[in-house]
Amino acid sequence: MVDTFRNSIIAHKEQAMINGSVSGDQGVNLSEIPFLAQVNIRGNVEDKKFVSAVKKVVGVAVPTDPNTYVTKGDFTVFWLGPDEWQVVGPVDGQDDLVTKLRDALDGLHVAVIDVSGNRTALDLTGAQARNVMKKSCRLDMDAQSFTPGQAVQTRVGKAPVLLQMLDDKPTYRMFVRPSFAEYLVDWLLDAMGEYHHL
Amino acid sequence: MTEKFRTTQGTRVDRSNVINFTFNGKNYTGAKGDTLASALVANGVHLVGRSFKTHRPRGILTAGSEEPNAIIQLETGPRSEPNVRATQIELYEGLTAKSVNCWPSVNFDLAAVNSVASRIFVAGFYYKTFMDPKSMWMTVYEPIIRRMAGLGVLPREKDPDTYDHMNEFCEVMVVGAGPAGLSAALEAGRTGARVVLCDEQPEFGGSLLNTKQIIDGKPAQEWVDTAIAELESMDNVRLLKRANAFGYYDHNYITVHERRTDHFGPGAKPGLSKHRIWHFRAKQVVLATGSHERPLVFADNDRPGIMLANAGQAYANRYGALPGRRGVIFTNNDSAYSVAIDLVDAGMDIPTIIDLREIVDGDLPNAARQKGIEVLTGSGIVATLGRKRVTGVEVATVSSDGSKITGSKRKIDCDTILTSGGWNPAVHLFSQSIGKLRYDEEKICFVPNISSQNERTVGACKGSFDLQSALDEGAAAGAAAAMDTGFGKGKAKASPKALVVEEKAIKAYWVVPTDHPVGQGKRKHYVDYQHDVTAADIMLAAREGMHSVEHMKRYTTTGMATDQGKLSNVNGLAILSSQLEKDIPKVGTTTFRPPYTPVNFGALAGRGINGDLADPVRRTSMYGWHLENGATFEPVGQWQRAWYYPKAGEDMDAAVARETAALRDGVGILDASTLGKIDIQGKDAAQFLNLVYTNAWLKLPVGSCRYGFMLKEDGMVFDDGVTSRLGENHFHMTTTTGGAAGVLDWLEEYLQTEWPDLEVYCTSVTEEWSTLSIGGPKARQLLEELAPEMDFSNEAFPFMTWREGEVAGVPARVFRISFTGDLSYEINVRNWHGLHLWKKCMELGEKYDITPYGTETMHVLRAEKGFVIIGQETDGTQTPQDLGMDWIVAKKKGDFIGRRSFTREDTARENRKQLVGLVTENPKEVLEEGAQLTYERVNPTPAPMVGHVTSSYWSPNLGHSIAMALVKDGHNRMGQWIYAHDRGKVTKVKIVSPVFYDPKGERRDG
Repeated sequence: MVDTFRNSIIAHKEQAMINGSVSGDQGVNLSEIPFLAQVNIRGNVEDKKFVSAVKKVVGVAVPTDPNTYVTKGDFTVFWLGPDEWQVVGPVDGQDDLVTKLRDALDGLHVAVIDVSGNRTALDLTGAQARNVMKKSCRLDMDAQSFTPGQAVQTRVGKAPVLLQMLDDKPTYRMFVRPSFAEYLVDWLLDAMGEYHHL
Repeated sequence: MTEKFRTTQGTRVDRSNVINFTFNGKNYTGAKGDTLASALVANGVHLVGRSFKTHRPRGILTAGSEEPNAIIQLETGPRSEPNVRATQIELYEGLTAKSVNCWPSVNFDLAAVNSVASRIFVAGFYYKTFMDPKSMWMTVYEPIIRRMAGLGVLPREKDPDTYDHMNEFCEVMVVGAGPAGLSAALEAGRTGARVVLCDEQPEFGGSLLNTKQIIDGKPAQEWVDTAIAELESMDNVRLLKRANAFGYYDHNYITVHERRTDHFGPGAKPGLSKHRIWHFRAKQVVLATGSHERPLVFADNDRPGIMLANAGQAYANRYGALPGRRGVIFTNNDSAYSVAIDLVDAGMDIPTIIDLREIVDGDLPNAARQKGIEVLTGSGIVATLGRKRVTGVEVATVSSDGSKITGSKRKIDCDTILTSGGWNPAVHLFSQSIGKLRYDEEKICFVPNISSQNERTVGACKGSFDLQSALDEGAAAGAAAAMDTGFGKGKAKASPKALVVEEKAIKAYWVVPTDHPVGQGKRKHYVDYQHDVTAADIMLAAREGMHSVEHMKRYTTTGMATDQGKLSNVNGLAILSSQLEKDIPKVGTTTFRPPYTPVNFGALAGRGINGDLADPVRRTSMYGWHLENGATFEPVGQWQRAWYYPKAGEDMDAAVARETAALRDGVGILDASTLGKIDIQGKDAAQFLNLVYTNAWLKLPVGSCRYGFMLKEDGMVFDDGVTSRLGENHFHMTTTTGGAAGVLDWLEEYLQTEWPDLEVYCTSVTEEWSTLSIGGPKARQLLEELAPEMDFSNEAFPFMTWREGEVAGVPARVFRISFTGDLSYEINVRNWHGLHLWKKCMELGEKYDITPYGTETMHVLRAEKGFVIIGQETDGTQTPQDLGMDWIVAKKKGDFIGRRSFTREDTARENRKQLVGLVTENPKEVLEEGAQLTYERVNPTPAPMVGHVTSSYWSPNLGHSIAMALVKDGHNRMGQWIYAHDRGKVTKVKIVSPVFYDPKGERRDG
C-alpha cells in the first residue's frame, strides 16, 4: 500500500537538486532517498542471545568495530555506539522489521525503536563528490581513508549527520535529521556550484 | 617598448604578451609574468608609497611577501582590496592600483609635514601623548590616531566574490617549492604517500627563479622544470601555487591561503571562489620556507631606489627589469657579489661595492673585481642623497665596532642602492609550531633548533644557504618523512650536483655610523620601514627601561605592522642587545604568530557567512505551510518557530489578541514539533524516572501522563516536561525545545556513571515525531472528526492520559495535556505525516474557524495560567519551592537528583526570590520584561533591588496586563504594592498569585 499521506520535508528542493547537479564524468549529483525504513536497536553485544536474535532477523551480526556498517540483502546495520545500532531497510519495511525484532528479542534488555521519520537520506555521488565533501566535512574523505563499509557520525557543513561511505564512485550517503535537511541541501548545492564552471 | 628599464634577459616574463595597467592614475604597460612591482620597476617607478608616521617617500624594497613599503590599494569599488603587496600581485590586463597612506598623491603628500616634526614621533609617542585626560581617549585621541594611521580603505559595498574552505589530509606536507621543497616533495611523492607541496608564488622554483644557478651542469631552471613535470605526473601529489601557508598549529594542522582567481582580474571567473583556505592535517611536515635578506641599517636607508640586493637580482634575472641605471651595493657578506655580477651582465652600471668587512677575498668578490667593480672594504654608506629617488651616497671607512666614521667621506652618484645585511631563515612557521630557535653566531641569524611536532626543516630555512645543502637536505627529509608515515624505505636518490661557490664569513654590523650620533641629527636609521621605527627609537626604548624584547616591540611598534617585521625583527633585537650589552641569544626573539602574511576576512569566513549557510536553520515538517500562510518567525535556538500569523493589516498585538481569543472560545492549532522527545525503556525505566524527576513515577498507570521537574545536583530546576507511560517498562519523555540535547546527555551521563546497574535505554526521538497541539473548547469536536474511531469523551480519555490510534488516516499518539489551561490535545505523528495532518486539521477545522497560532500566543496563554517556562522564569538558581511548586516534590519516595541540596542553608533559608504574579496599578500598562523591582518607590543608592520581571504580556482575555516576577520573600507579600523600574520610569505593581486565569482549572475538560 502506498502511503499517499507522507511528504518529504525537502520535497520542494527536488528541482533545485536536479538543477544543482553536474552531469558528465567530472560531475556530481545530489538527490534525496526518502522514507527509508530505519530502526534503532540498543542491546548488549556480549549477550549471544541478543546477537543471534538480531542476526536471525536482519541476516547479519551487528558490527562491533566502531564507525562501520554491514549490508546483507535488504538490510544495512550501522554501528552507532558500543550498545547502539541502526538498521536501514527498504521503504515501508519498518513495521515488519520492528515486529520481527521485538519478537526475536523478547525478554532481553533491549530497545527496538522505529526511527524511520527521524532522519532522511541524501546521496552525493560522482567524481566531484569527494571534493564537495572535503569542503563540508573535517574528516579525511580520501579513498584510502574512508572506504565503503565505514560510516561516521559527524558534521557536514554544520549539520549533524550519519555519513555512510556507500561506494567507490564515490557515493556518500548522509542520514540527516529532517529539521536540518533543507540547510544541508543548500550547503551542498552551494559547494557543488563551482563544478558547473570547471 | 615603453618600459625603459626592461631588458631582454628576464627569464620568466613573456615580453610579447603586453599587459596594460594603471598605477596612481597613470597608464603603463608590463609583460605577462610580471608582478605589479616588477612592472613598475620596468617602467622606472620606485616611489610607491609614503611612510606610516612621517610620510617619507618610500620605494619598492623587496621582490616578495616580506615587502614593507609597496603596500597598495588594488582596484576600486566593491572588489577593492586594501594593503596588498605589489610584489605579490600578478599583473593582469586592466589592473588598477594606487598607493595608500598618502594624500592627495604619492608625489605631493600634505602629511609629509610630519617628517619635519618627526622628532616628536619617537618611541612610545602614542603612550606619552595620548594619555591624559582620560575623557579625551574616545572623543579626540582615537579619531586622530585612526586618521593618521590609515592605510588602505575597505570597500563599503558587499563583497561580490565568494571564498571557501577545503579540508585535506596527507602523509607529508611540504611548505615552500624552492630547491629544498621540490627535492623533498619528489622523494616523498615517489613513495606513493599523499604529498602536498604549496608555495606562495605563482610559479614553483623559489630562489632558483631569481638566481643564475647551475645544477648538473645546466641552468637550474631545467632541473626545476623536470621536477615539476615529475610531480605533476603523480596522482598522490597535490601541488598548490599562490598558496601561502600562514598558520602552523597543534597536531600538524596547517592552514593555507590560496589566491585562486586574483591573477585573472576581478570578476573574471564567476562561480569560482576567489580565495580558498585549506585546512591540512599532515602526519609529517617538511618546512622549506627559505630565507629573507636582511637590510643594513644606515643613515637615510629608506629612500626610493634603495632595495634589497636579492630583490634587484630578482627583478633583473626573473623579470628582465633593471632596478636602475647605476647602482652601488652595500653589504657585509659575499652573497651580494653575485647580485653585482648578474646586474652588470644585465646591463646595469655597478661602479662600487661597499663592504663593511675589513678583508674581502672570497671567490665571488674576486669575480666581481674581475668585472671591473671597485670594492671598498671596511667601509660603509654614511649618508644617502636625494628625496623621491636616491641620487647618490657618501661612503667612508668606518670603525669595526660601528661607533664612528674613521676616514674621509667620498660621494658616489647612483640611482640605486642594493643592500644586504645577511639572511634570516623564514622560521615563522617553525616557530608557530612551537619549535625552539637557536642563534647561530657564525651565520648571524636564528635557526631552527628543536622541533616540537613531526616536522623537519630544510634548506635556507634551516640556515643551509648553499644550493647543494638545500637539495640534499630536502631529498633526505622527504624520504625520511614518508618513511615515518609507512611509505618507502627512507633512502633518497642521490641529489643532483649544484655548482657551489664557497662564501666567506659574514660580519655582524647592526648600525652603520653617520656623521652625528644615532638619533641626534637629521639622518634616520630605519629599522622597521612600515612603522617608521628607527634605531634611535629602539635605543631610546632601551634607555627608558624597555629591556625585554617584548616590551621594546610594543613600545616602539617594531614588527607590529602588516609585514610582521619580516625585515626588522632581527635588526631591532640586535640593536636592543647591543644597547643592553647582552648577547643576542639572551635577549631572544619575539613570538611568531599566524598569519605569516595578512589573510582576508572573507577567506577566513568562507561560506559560513552567507545568509542561511551561516548557521543551520532548523525547520519542522510544517514550516513550509507556516511560510506560505504569512507566519512571522521567531528563532528558538536554531529552530525557526512560527511566532504569530498576522492577517492583512494586523500588527503583532492584534494578531495575538485574535489568536488568544480563538484558544479560549474556539479552536487553535500550534506546531509544537520542536519539543524534545526521548524514548526511555527497560525494566528499571520507572525507577530511573523516580531518580531524575522530583515527583513519584512508580505508580503512574500505563496510558497516563505526568508533568515533572528535573533538578541539577544543586537542587535548582533545569528542565521540565510531560512524560507518558507507553508500557510497563516504556516511557515517552518530553523536554523543553532548547533543553532536548542537554537532557539526553544528562540522562546518559547518570546511566553510565552513577547507575550502570539500571537496565534503561534512552534514545532521542525528537524528530521522529511531528507534534500538533490542538486547543480550545472546540478541540474535542475537531478531534472526533479527525479520528472517528477514537473516543474523546472525558470518561474514556481523561486529562493527563494518552491514546494511540489513527488520526486523519495516519498512525498517531494523542496526548491530552494542556499548556494553555483549556481543553487541549497534542497529536504526535511520524515526521513525514506532519504536513498532511496539519492540512487536514485546517480543512476540517475551517467550520470552527480554526486559528493557527504561534509561540507568542502560546506564551500569553500559559502566562495567564501561571505556567513557567524554564529559562524565562528560571535562570538556574530557582528551586521548585521558589517557583511555588512544592507540590511537585515527593516527600516520601526516597532519593532523587537535587534532593540533598534542599537542606543546604542557602536553599532552605527564608527570603529567597520567589515566583509571583504582578498586576500594574494602571491595568493598561504592560511592564518591560527584565524590569528591576524594589519594595519602595524612592530608594537610597545603591537601590536594594528585590527581584525582576520574568514575563510580561497584555492579556486580551483578561483585559489587563499580566506579569510574572521573581521577588524576594514574594510568597509572604501577596497583595503588597511594590515598584518596577525601567530606565527611569517607575510603575506601581501589586503582588498577586501567578495564576491569573481559571484558577480552579475548570476549563481544561472543555
